[in-house]
Amino acid sequence: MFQWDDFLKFASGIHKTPTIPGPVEAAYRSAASRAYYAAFNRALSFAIQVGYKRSDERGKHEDLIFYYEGYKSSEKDTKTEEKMNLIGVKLRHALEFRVEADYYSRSKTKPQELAYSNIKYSGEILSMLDSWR
Amino acid sequence: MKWILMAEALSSWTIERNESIISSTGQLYNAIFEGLYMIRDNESVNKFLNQHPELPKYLTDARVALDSIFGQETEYILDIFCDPESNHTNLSVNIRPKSSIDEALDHLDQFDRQWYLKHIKQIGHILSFNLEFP
Repeated sequence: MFQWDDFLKFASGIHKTPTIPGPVEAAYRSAASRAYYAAFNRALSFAIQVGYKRSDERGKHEDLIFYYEGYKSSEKDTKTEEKMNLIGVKLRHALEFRVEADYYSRSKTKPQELAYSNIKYSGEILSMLDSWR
Repeated sequence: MKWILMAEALSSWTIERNESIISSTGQLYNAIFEGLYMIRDNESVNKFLNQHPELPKYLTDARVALDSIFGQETEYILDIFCDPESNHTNLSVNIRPKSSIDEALDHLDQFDRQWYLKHIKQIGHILSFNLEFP
């Protein structure tokens, strides 16, 4: 079974040596996109474990972010609620950069910065999720 | 202080909002946000704001928090984010910091924790904040 965390290691690797896998911008765009999916899929797995069920009201990415951002702790556990909400916020930041990397022929932000930011967001999200293991 | 006065004006406008007196919503939003935000695509942004009249008060309030964290020299641009895979759209504040990317990411994290999380359940799906490094 594929380990989603490996996407983050791959993204970090091509960010450090972008000329090896091919065109530099493609490498940065791939890094931005792969880093997002590492976080998205780990966040999705965790959400399912704690009871998330996908709604048909919105797309799958927006729906998962909506779940995290709207999460309310049933036990007045404000720290858990804040951490879940923050995961949603960071996923949203990373999603917007991933969409730029995947769809914008002229991205508003330099591809190198898209990659750097999404690797950082993804790492933070994975760390927060790991803290519940 | 300019934006606080604008926020007050906006608040009274929201209370008195009446379709018959709004002949040009776009011009009104442009006046409200003059000096606070640049607008990348006037028509799309004004259309979105017209659909979500609760947003301007959050935008004026957010600008105070943004200034205290990013500094007043930072540029802020209103844009529409659209995910082509789901057609989800939201208003996005694109922050153009003068600082390094590491510092800007830290500042955005600070803004998220201090301001955005407090309002996330009300506006998270219609208003986002992100960095822009052209």
